[in-house]
Amino acid sequence: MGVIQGLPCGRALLRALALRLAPPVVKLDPSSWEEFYAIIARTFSELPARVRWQVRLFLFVLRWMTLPLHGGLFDLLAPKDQDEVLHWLEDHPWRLLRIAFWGVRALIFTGYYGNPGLWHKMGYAPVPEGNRMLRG
Amino acid sequence: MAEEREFDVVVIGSGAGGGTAARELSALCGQGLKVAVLEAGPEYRDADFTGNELEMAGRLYFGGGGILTQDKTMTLAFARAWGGSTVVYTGTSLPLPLQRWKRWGVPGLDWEDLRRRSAKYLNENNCHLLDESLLNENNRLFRAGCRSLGLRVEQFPVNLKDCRGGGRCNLGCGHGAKQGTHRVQLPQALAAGVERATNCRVERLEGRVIHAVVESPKYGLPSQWRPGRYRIKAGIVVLAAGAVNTPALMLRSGMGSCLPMLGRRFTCQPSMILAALHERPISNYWGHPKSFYCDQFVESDGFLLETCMYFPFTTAKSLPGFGDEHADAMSRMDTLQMILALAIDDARPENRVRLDPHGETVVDYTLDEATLARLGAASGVAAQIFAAAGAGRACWPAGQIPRPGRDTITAAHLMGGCGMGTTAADSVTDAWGRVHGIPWLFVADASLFPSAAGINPYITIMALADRTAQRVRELAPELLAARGAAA
Ligand SMILES: Cc1cc2nc3c(=O)[nH]c(=O)nc-3n(C[C@H](O)[C@H](O)[C@H](O)COP(=O)(O)OP(=O)(O)OC[C@H]3O[C@@H](n4cnc5c(N)ncnc54)[C@H](O)[C@@H]3O)c2cc1C
Repeated sequence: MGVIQGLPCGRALLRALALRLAPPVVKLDPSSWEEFYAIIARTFSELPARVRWQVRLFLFVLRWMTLPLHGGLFDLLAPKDQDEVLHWLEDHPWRLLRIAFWGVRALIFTGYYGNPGLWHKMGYAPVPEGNRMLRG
Repeated sequence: MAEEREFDVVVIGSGAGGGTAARELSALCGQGLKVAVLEAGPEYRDADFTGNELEMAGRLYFGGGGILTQDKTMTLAFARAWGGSTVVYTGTSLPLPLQRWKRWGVPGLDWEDLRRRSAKYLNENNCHLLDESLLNENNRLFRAGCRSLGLRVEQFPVNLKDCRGGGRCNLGCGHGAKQGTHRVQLPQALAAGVERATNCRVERLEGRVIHAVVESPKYGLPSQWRPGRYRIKAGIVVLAAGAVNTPALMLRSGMGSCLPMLGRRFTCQPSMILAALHERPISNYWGHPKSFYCDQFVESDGFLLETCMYFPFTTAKSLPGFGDEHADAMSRMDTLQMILALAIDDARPENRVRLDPHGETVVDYTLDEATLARLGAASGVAAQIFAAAGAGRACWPAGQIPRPGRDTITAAHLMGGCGMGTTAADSVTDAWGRVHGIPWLFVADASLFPSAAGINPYITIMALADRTAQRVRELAPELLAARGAAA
């Protein structure tokens, strides 16, 4: 069973996408990777049914579309080729493809940037008493 | 079987508009009338606001803060809670600019009247300028950048009391510092005898009968009413469910056929979060996030610039691109200076709230060339401000026009859909929020705006809700007598 229900490729594809979209994930320890998948699964499960279906479809297409052009499934390609595909989708003339990529990018970002346990790695450390910090 | 309830006046929604209307109508309780507020969201305690971005967004906002427009090129942020979007707003408090009022041109909406009511809410909500010692560097750099470029820059009055500068206003204030309706107007309404039901989602109106469902979500305080279906008879209904949900509710209640402008001329001041990196950490996530704005270009070029500071996921989503450069900016959030660029969009009939064939709410909104160009122009000025403030790399290319679907465009100033005017041909309500042709139905929220406010809108929403409530109070004897006669 994949992280995203009904998506056969599951973690391999998400991991490959995360490594290209949010490269700092490379430093995650195994338990942080588990959290990464858990956040994505939770975010995904809260999406409307129609959007979930669209995400699944897009990820499926993304994974297989590289086979004829690059000779392999997306998650098995070299990082350079993966980047090329992602940039192509990001700025694709078809608005629908751009939107689909934007959505998947946001989903991947939830897994890393949405994890408060990692915020200190981003130089983000808010405190309830922020004014006290300001006044030194 | 639905439970039955009966009230003289029912307000639907408890945000900037609904909370104000409820308090203003609470005077009727003293005359023996029954007034109720029905609110779809739960009430929260301060301790519920954990500051966890995804968790709070999922609880506080419709669609987790990511309601997409029909073409999926923009997300709309609006909250569901006792207090509505005032629970998540930043609390910047400005009255409608004179120029916008002129553009509105609503016969019967007197400038002096609007100004006086806005002043009432500025005062009541404790709006004031923060002391210099409480302005963080992200804000001060914006001011310095604007000043060195000779741009007009103003400080926002903010409606805070005992703010401790947690900086996460948009995830709910853990200190109860922001003076939203849940802190100011609604407690007064309850004290005066207004009844309420939270977690109570109104589905539709059938004449003056309101069909609603009370739910029991896993978070927030439970409703005052038992979960289940309700049939609520009302003498007068005041809609204040916000610029998306008020028109949707009216459409769902079959009012579209006699009100051709219903849902139309929706505007939202589409915005982009722009950021630039400084070489050293600047204080940006401590203190109130939004202290300054530059409205110099509103009338001439159709955009507004404001300071802002967002949380990691929102920031990551908003910065362009991905990969190493994006990750580099995100790994140094404490060095990011942020500016919110808002386009003042034109009110167009085709931008509208409607229902899809399944009865679900849809917002048709096209980011047209003019709006996108305004955002592009705004980014050009923002880049100059960043540079003048000493920032290094700006994350968004100066002046680049955003591309729908690729670039993150969001909106939190949702307006229109039940615009004020004179007849049903040009509007949905009169200048006092009374719906054309339906004497017992009133609107008291952001949907009343005939076009964009050109500035942060909540004070104007309160002023308009205050007017609506006044008209309801004046007409209540007549309208309630008519109900009695009809019965
Ligand atoms: C993140 C953010 C920051 C903002 N910052 C500022 C700011 O600093 N200054 C400013 O001026 N403005 C700001 N705004 C905008 C401002 O908050 C809104 O314009 C204002 O609150 C809208 O008032 P309203 O009454 O129209 O709707 P809301 O305040 O959104 O209230 C509508 C209420 O109706 C309820 N409702 C909806 N449908 C139903 C239904 N069917 N049944 C029952 N209840 C229903 C909702 O749950 C909600 O509580 C901000 C908005 C956001 C999202």
